[in-house]
Amino acid sequence: MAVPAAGCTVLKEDSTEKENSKIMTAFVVDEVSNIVKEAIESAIGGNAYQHSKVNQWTTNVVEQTLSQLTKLGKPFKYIGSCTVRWENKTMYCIVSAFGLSI
Amino acid sequence: MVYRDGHIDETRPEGSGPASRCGSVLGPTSSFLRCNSLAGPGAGLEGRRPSLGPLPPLGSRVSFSGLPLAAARWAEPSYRTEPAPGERWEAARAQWALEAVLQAGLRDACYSGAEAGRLARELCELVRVRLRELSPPRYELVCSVVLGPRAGQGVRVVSRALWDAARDGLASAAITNTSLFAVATVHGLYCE
Repeated sequence: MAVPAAGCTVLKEDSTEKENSKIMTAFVVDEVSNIVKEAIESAIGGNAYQHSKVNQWTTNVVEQTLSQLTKLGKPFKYIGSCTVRWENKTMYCIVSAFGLSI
Repeated sequence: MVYRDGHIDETRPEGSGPASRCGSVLGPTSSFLRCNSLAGPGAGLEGRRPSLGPLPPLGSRVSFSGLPLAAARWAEPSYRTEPAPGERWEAARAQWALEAVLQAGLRDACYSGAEAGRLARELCELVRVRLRELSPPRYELVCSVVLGPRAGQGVRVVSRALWDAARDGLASAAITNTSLFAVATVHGLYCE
């Protein structure tokens, strides 16, 4: 049985090599959305909006997302984007990640 | 990695315009041309979104944004690691096209909460079609449009990419009017 790459979903004992390779080269939406959520929580967490920090937060979120995606080791190019909207102390943060196979 | 930041802030005296994006955390906001993946022809469609299970028939599929998906077109790999000379990504031309699309699409438009979602999706589709005509062959496009009202808020749009810095690029354009603002971004990635 092939050894799964870091971040892959758990493979069944009797999976064929072809299924394994399909999973390892596929863009698994659930896996990526977990990575994005963790990046947002670790970079911004429950903080209220602070204007001086928003630059740093947005870049941290996107860079952390991309570096975690890269660690998956899949043959993809990635694009990450983060849109932050703020009003008084509340913030909306929208992050999207695209993966294009090469 | 290369990056591009756009900052619009109406909470400061200078600047212009807040944001509300109708996209979401998951999934693409537009369909794009796909090349055969390394996993081989059989693994193409099924391997793409395993978390959703088997795909519905082609004719009934809609994209995440609600617009109908065109039939997936497959390009054979060209095995050319470099785009041909004269067929590289040109950021200036793409930016000019984006500005033209935004001006045309939003001239005299007024922001309304109910219509904004539909307007953003249509703009994104227009951007994709226009850029598809203009961009060199063998380039994949990722288009996004952020549209929002001007209501005394601030917005920041950031993007990062893991790509081939010599062959890939991006272009973005922003416009504002009295009631709304829009930021359109397109990333072009060479697909061999």
